[in-house]
Amino acid sequence: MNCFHRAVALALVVLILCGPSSHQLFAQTADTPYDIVIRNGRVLDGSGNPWILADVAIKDGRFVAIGRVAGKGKREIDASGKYVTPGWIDMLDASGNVLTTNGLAESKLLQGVTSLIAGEGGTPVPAEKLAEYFAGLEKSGISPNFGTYYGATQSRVAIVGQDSRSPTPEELVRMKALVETAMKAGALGISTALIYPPASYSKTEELIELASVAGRYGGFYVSHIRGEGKELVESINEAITIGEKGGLPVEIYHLKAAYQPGWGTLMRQAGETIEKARARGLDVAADMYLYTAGGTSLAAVVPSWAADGGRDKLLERLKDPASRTRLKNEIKTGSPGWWNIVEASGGWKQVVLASSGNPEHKRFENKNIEQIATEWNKEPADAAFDLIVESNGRVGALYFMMSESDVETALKYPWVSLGSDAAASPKLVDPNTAGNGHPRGYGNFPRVIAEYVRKKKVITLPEAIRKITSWPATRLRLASRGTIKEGNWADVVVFDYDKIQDNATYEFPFRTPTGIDQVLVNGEVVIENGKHTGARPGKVLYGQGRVQ
Amino acid sequence: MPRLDNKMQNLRRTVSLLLLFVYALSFPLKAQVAEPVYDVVIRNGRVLDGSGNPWILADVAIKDGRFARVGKVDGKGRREIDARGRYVSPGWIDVMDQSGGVLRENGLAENKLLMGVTTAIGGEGGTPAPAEKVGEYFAELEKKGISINFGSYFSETQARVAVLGTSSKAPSPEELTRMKAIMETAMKGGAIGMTTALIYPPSSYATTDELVEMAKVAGQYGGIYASHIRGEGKELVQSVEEAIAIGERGGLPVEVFHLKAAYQPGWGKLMSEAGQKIEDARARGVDVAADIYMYTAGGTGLEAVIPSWAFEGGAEKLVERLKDPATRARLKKEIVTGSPGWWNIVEASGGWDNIILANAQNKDNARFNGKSLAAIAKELKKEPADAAFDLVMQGSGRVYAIYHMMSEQDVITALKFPWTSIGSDAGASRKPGEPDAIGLSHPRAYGNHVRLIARYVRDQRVLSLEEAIRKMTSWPATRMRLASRGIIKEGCWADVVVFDYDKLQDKATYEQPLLSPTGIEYVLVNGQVVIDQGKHTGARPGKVLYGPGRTS
Repeated sequence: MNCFHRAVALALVVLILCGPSSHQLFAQTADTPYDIVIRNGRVLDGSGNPWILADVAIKDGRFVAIGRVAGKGKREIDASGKYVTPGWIDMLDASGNVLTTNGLAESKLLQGVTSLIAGEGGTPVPAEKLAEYFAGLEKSGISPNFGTYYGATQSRVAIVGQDSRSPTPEELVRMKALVETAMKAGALGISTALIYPPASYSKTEELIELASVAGRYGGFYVSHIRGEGKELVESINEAITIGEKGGLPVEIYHLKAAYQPGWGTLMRQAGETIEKARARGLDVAADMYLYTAGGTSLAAVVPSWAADGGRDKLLERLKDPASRTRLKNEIKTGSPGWWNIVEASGGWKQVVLASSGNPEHKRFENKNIEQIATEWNKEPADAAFDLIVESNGRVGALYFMMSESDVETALKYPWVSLGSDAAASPKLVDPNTAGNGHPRGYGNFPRVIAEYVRKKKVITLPEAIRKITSWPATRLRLASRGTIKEGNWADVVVFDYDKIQDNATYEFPFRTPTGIDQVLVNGEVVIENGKHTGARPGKVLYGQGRVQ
Repeated sequence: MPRLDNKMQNLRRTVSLLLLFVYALSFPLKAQVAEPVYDVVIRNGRVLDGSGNPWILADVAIKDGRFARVGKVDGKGRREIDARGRYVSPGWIDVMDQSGGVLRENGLAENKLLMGVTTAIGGEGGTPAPAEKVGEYFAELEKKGISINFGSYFSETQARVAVLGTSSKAPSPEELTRMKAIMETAMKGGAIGMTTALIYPPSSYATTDELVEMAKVAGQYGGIYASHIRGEGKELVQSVEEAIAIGERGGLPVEVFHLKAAYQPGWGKLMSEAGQKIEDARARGVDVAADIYMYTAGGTGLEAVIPSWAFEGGAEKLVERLKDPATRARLKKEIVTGSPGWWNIVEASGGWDNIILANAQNKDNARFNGKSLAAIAKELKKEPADAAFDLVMQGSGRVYAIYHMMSEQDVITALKFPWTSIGSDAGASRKPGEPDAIGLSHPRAYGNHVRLIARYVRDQRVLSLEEAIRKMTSWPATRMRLASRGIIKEGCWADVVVFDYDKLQDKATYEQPLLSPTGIEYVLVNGQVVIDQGKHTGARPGKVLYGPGRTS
């Protein structure tokens, strides 16, 4: 009996001792096993799949459970009635520079963009400084994920300067070494922007040589192709040739048919050209933005030979009466190796002044060149040239050169992803600011849903999401991104389908979109009900050739 | 001079020794450098990531069962697979599999793997073990080893029969509580949800309300409600509605098994209506989807031609009723006039001409295999219904038939719904080249998943290749909440199919249903090669896919 009593008492003591502590242990792990749980949303996994109704649990920056999630998160987000998608990827970003001064990239994140792929114009530093540049971004902290191409033109300029000549074999070797350095530092590939001098001076053979170096390091060849107007198909073929001979995948930047007489036919031919190449086994695809106007420097209206030797030379030639006469004439007749953007737009009326470095031009913003010419009582070409000269070459224009139906045709190609062709703002611009930009900088990504899914029903919602999530991620070989799947990085957008709206217009290009509730990057909330939290969880997305 | 020569010789010897030494030193070093970094690398294929994305040209590296790198892969694999000119896709998922029983005897599941299927979701008829043994059953599969990944539903009917037997009555509140407890046990054992097969008695005795109550339990454990719905003929739309209602009221996702319009007069109309119902439900926020197989004939027991009330009380009761002349006459009449709560599969098939005996389960009747019931009746000089009843009674096991009851156009319509996935409705065979383990010879057991690509992508161009792959990979994986599966992405489980698009062909036909397809070159399950140049390697890397409610 005594023994029995003792045993019972002992057992009780053990129970009392162990009970609460084991309970506490349980509570510690079971209370909030996750960092964040997004509840009850319509989860679009990014794969072009229809939504499922599910909870999404996140821990240590990654998705860890999808479905019915019993455990709580330190942060719980109610997504009832909302869509939950992977973060959106901007395939044609231009934030390489601005991220060094503003890592928050508010204008991008407010659009749902969590990964930026930049470098149409190359990196903001030379090849040998690229690793340092990436390390700098990591140190100062960035809100979105960011990767970049290296500009083939950077290597050209470093060795050949602004000259239009081809490199000597010895120079080419040095250029290739620069590409190699950039790839080892973590560039995603090489880019060209072949309408702009001095990029336009590069011949196909030169680009193949450089591309083959990028290809050895798992890189891409991406290109703002030589012409996007009547020469669209030949220009695409050039890019395909560079990919085929260089042995690497090809990305055509902002696919467009910028030539009014070719609207309705060129875009189809371009699509067929790419599909034929794919059928041969070439890894070619394209991206696009969702506006019928492009935006670039007004200097693009000047035949490219005039820029040989750099900006000062260009301004000199524009001031010289004889050269000016010749250039004006060439805008009508054409000039070899130059893409006539005035003709592509269907005339000066379609070219609108967006912004100028000269404050005296402020009154002309949002006016087309023909209107400005009338006010100045000049020929349009003279007006354009003077705007360039008076602003020291720092003048931006909108070129209304595409048709809505071609935008829709391109959007339907299954291999098309989306790129804004815009940089993050150094800081958010007052939404009531008129003119002075292109709406794609603040609206491109919500626009695909608001305009092309909900309003025009050109593509389905899962398909639109695929184009801005899993497809660009797979295409760029971004490891463990682009889908909501256990183990992947938790980049997320939670949005209200009925309310999502791009608010930026040509008139008011800085209006941020509505309907995006939360944006997460690597498992951290960066946008909360339309406001940036200040978090900087973004990572540098290194290319596969990086050598550490 | 000789001394010098000697010296030279010595020097030479020393140098060559030194060289040899350096060489010997460098050799292991070199070998170390070339040591494989990965378990398997699949080179230069057109990689379809499963996401409905177009292919990319890439290498796929696998380590420790998972994808480790996709893109340019410099490191070597212990096994290198050249996929030049081939497509590389995530492993295909069979969302309506019948291998639950046979995997205990034959975990190799050759006919499934030979058609690219790496994951099978069984359980239309429930688990081959009662609820309290479900955990044990899964553990047994893990212990014996299976070549395929496998998950299973638990059947509502299992819970019903355990408590009510084969009676047609509704459960009392107390009985329902016991049934719910059984469902709970099964969900905790790792079932992925609850099934019904409402055309078959005693499943058909369950009312909607009973099913809602049972579904709630499965839903609490993160389960899915999957159903062979009550009718797939003229009552298709109402039957789909019932399944949706169960999901909506039960608070869980719904999967409609083998969506079909099995009613000739409704071809071209019923399927669109059913699709619209599902779309409407989805628009309201109900998580509902469906799967299909790739044939216009279904296959099931021949007893399905008998009105369901005749099964009440079990098999002996059925035989008794079939032997009784008056009851037999009534049953025969009802095949013409209909019977409440029974789905008339004879009418759906458009008559006895379109019902083909597949497996008589009787030596003497084996000569009738492959013949229509109309032809068999003629030979036996009987009415077709009598012939069917007699064949059912004479079978030593379940007698099977093929029912030609669907239209190709409806299959295509269903295939185009973005929310349909692919299920074979067939089991693995006990041995390769034999009918599937349930004894039903239908080409779907050997050809289904390959047929999607060969027939509906390549030959008829109904879908794009990437869309077809999506339906067999990422969509079912996401839908069934299979963690880290269904896409080729770093960190996900490496289930893979490497196939030759031009050579891909399902060979199984109704006449020769046991032929494996061509064009499937390699199949990997959890990073291990199971099909190697068309041959099963004997590897058993499959995992049990447990439901989220499992308490281990």
